Amino acid sequence: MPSRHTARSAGLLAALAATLFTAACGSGGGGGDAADVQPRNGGSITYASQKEPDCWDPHASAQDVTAFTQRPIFDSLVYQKPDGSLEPWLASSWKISEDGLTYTLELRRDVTFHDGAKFDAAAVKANFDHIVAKDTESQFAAGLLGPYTGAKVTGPYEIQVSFSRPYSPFLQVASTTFLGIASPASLRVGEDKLCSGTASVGSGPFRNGRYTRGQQRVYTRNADYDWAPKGAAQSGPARLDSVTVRFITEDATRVGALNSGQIDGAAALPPNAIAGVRANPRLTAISKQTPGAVYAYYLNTTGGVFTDIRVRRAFQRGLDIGTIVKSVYQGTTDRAWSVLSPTTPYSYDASLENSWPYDPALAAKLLDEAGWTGRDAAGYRTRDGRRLSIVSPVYGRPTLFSQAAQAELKKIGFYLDLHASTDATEVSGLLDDGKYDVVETSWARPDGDILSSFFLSTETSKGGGHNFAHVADPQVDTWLKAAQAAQSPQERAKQYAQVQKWVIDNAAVVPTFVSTATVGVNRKVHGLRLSIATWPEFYGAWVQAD
Amino acid sequence: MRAAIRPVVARLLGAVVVVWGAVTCSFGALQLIPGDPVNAIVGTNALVGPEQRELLRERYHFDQPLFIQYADHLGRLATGRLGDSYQLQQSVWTVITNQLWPTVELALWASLLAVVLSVAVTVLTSGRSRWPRRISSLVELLVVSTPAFWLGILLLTVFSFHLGWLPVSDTGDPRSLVLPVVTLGLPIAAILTQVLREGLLTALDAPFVLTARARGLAEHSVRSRHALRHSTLPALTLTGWFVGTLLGGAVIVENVFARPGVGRVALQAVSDRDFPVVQGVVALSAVVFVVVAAVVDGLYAVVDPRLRRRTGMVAA
Repeated sequence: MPSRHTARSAGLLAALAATLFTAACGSGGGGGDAADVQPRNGGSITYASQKEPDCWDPHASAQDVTAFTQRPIFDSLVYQKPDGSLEPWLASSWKISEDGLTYTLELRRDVTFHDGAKFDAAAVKANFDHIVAKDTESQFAAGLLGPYTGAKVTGPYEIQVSFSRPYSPFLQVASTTFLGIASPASLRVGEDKLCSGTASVGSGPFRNGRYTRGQQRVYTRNADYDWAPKGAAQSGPARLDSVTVRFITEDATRVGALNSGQIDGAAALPPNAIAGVRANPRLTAISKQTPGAVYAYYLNTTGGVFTDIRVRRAFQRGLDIGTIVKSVYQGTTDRAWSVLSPTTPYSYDASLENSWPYDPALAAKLLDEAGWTGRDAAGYRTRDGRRLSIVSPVYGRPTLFSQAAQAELKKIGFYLDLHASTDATEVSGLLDDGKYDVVETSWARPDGDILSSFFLSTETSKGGGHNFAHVADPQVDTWLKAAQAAQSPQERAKQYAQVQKWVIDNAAVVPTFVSTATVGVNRKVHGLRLSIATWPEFYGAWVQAD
Repeated sequence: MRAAIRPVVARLLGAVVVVWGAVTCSFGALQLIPGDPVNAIVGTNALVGPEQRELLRERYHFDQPLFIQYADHLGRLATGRLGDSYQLQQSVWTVITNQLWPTVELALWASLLAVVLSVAVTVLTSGRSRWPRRISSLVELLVVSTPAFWLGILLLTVFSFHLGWLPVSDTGDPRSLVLPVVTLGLPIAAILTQVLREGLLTALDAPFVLTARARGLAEHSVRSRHALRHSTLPALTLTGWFVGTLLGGAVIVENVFARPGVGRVALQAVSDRDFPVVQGVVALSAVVFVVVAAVVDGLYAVVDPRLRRRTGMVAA
């Protein structure tokens, strides 16, 4: 019998997962110790973001910071809790057709947008239409919809979303701010206004307040809010009267402002500032491993030295990743064993842990077998007089990890050529033409489907994908497509586990470290928790009276 | 009459040529970057398929030959349209004009601080006992050799983080303007002081100062009314550098102090490959330079009577 994944089963799962989650770590609460202080309404907080959105329209922008800064304004159809489970939000329930091609969503009937308009099926359709419209020039949301073919209003509060092939990542995708639901009237004002950040009208717990580009944006409480998802930290209107997000790009300024109590929270604490914040009695630091693809080296399997699997394996096993991560990041982040982060919901394959330890002797043997037996004056391995050199195009500055890896790799005879450029166009040109041996990158996304962007044979760099390892294996494609078609999370996890194992076994990728987001918060702020995407959720936060 | 118009026309033509040159250079520099310009629009972390890439190529005319793109660009500029930003999806004109006032405000206060400070220090320390001058020279050297970025962080650490006297970033409070203005104004004041002092010392040795003193004028009046005017001539020549420092310094100061402004937009545009905004800022800077040069030429005549017509004197 084909499974019919209903909202109810998702709800059960969510409840179960939530219990496990709170029992296991309980770190979602953030902020200070709430034991002796009662939550109160009112007050405001100021939070410093490292970045500022270029374009504020989440349907058009590809920037994480747009999704973060618009989350308080826009609700989504589905809610993804900090542990990754999905539950109803603006959609009260959903049904998936037996062929997996059609999602029928029942919508809440009690929701109003900030401009007073009623939320209904027509509003949802207007949003989908806006995402895929040519004029929107969507850089991300339309891509997230994958094989989307259209949305149909089948009742005042019922909508059908169709795909050309089964696409189970849809519900997770629908939970992102990129697919946030805006008031239909606001979508008609034109892309320039939507991007300017002053015309955002959603149904969220906060309304769009005063915004000055380059300075700050203010959010004011939506007193009518009464449709929070069950798993949210709060129900009814938000406790805070207002939230101000200030844009402080300079690390030293942001950290200094936090330490001196001029702001209540700061994003993206650099590793060297975390200890200082933890030591400050007025502050606390909340960390969460970013879900999605971890930092990893993707080895070009179809050109240059890495076409030989022995050389790839030598690179994979000859690099002492654990030691480098410990010394470079001083315990603020962990080494990775899989290409997926442990916090990626229903996807991470824990069996890979410790399955490919550091083994310099094996690496040396493999390189000898591959014919890289000579050594040049600088100590690098050579074959027929050519140095064992690997080119890694880097946009901006190489990671601290790569800089340290350069010296480590020299020990086993590799010359890691970090081709750093501040020019995105030049770097993407090299990537498109396959003129590299290795690409180091990561990509945050709270869904295992991120593997499709990296390993599906059709996702070439030229076509906008990220298959930097040039994996073109029918078996891998089958697993990934099966995962997209599978409707139970466990079934998808099984498929993703096979892909994670395959790419390690074939040394197509060398995962290095899990990026960890750390947010500094003043202890007088309570209930601020990090979402699955590692952004603070202001909705449940409150501030204690002085 | 014709004699009066001719220099004005020449001046205007010269201005047009300067702006055209700046615009052409910025267009050329951006063309030298290898790779597909569509990648610049799409960015590195986007999910964009090949069809949409083609649409973008068409919309921004990247499929046209280079010369046509250049002619289009000039044509648009000539009619006052700066084009649309790739990333902000707004007209470059709106982006720049919205951000202009914070930068102008910062630059004006910084200039005022630099001029007042340098004149005061020069008048007080020149030609008297050696010690004040030596200390002042040392401080000037320190300030000039300190990178603006570091100076800003240093001032923040002392006056904002530790003493808590001033806010760390722009909050709309006028006090938040103090540290950025000091960071931007101090290095300019230091250089101006060195130039002014050099001029003042030379002027104080000149015969006309002896005459003034012989007429019984007080020392402060000799310095500020007679000698100082002479020493401002070399300082005026530095105005081009002055404006450049203000524009370049604004980029750093606006980022360190988290202030809005053209400098911040320019930096973000450069890192996001937002070519139309970069070109807009370059064109704006060229216009500012041309206008400032014209104003300075006027000021020369005010300060130096030898350059005025009808004074009957000939410039030496």
